[in-house]
Amino acid sequence: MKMNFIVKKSAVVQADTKCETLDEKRIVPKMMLRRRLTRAARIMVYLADACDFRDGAVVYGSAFGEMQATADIVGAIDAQEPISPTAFQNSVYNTAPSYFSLLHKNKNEILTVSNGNETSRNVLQTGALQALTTQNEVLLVCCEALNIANIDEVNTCTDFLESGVALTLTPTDRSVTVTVSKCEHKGFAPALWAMLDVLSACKSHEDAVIAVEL
Amino acid sequence: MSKNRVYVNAYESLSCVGDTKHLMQAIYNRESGISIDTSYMKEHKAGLGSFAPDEFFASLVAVTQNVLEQSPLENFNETLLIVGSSVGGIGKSEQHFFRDKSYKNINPKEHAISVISETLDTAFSFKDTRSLSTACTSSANALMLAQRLINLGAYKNVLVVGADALCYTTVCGFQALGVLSTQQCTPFQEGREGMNVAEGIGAILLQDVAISESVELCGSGGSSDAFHMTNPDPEAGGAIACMQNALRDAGINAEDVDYVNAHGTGTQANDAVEALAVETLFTHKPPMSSTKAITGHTLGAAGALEAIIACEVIKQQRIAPQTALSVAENTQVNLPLESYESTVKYVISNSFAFGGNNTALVFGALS
Repeated sequence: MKMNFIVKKSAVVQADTKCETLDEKRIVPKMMLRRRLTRAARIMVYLADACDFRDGAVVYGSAFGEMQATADIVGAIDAQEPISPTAFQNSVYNTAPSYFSLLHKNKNEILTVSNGNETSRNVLQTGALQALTTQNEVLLVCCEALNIANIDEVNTCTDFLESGVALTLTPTDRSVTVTVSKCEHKGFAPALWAMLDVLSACKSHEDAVIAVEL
Repeated sequence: MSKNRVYVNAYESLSCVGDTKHLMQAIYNRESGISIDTSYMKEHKAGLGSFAPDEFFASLVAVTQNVLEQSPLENFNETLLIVGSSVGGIGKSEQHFFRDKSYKNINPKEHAISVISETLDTAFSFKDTRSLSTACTSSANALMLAQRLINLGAYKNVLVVGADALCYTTVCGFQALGVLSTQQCTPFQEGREGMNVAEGIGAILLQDVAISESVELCGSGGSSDAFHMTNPDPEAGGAIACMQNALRDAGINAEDVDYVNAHGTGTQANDAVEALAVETLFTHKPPMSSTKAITGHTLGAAGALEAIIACEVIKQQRIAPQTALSVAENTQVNLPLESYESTVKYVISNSFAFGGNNTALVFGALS
């Protein structure tokens, strides 16, 4: 089943190692909250801000989740050292959008997708479903934050150790104005490609209407 | 727009008390599957729920095969798979890291959450797969998604699988938060010690047509606390909101609910807030119990496992008692100490997670 959606806003960010211009002090003015944010959470709130989105349902995706928190926990267990409670609470895959909900007091549904290279395709499908369910604009974010020590021992999927893409979907009865094609997005993790396909197709179209297969 | 109705037509589970048949026997007989373990933390005892020595991924395939054999389907080629898991394959990554002191032998595909959907897709060739990871609401959210897709007519068959294995990260992580119990957990008990981490698998086939054994998934609802990363909103706003959303989606009133399958982890914070939410919303005091006293907390699998329990309560028309309770902290909720036969038309099943992620599901007997 295909349904049509308006892509009103979109944003992308990437860096070889670390995204340096995430504007955290403006977006997260409370220092205590800002200090707790994971790298993925910083990227997510930056992208949400770039999409001018604060209130509504959110669908977030990441193939590998919170790598730094996971590495910190496993390293501490191996070293027989205490685990940081903050590391553990920050290790779940829905950490980034949960910080977004705390930041903006957003009490709407948050779903987090993680399905390998299909992650952003699943985020699009799930976001479309949520937009139909709520009959409202939904924020979709897909992010990978892999900039941890010794990641080169396992990283074969991306040149950008930090990257993210976001867009908003709003259900519409209007006809499709933009056709989305599958592309290879060199340097980006394949988990982000399906949303990057939408971003590329829509970037020069205001309020582009795309079809999403549910 | 009219919505297609959603029917639970086959299911199977595996937890520390065995398959679904043994699970329900254990619940009704109040026989916990929790054992006291020191293998994860030599300095600390922890009550854990394990189905070892079964190999987790072989069990995952076997449980799913069992659902296929029970179902009206010949295969899953026209079925969407939606997985809910919070740890995926991290246990295997831990083994490599503890042995090698490096990441070099970790296979990223075996580490990620997607190892569950890829394992099942390799075994059964689904039409498509999706995978959610919202910590302890993962498979409840997978069921919510499945319901909405069938409601819309996007799919006729959806298999939801909740699956999480025990691993060092979760056992030691919950210990770091100070919420692990050294004994069998005692949900809703005054002065309770904490929770039991456990492993579990629950697989549920949802379809748009009813069979004689069907239970209906009538409604679902979610919410976010927007309060704290691990502590629930003490005023229970998020918990109440998700239950209200699920009741509205089901088209029923709070007083129509005949049994509440609680999230009931056994932690101080969760149980106090959940009891407050149920006390506030269900003024007719329906029986409520947490079956985690039997299974432990199976994390991302809990939503699916407890959905199966909700369906069994409806099919057997028998209320699940609250095991391991002597003095309830909140005396305004109805926590039955023994199982009993009762007319059960609607059951609500709660799941709450880190990040203030809340989901409630409403199941109903076929009218």
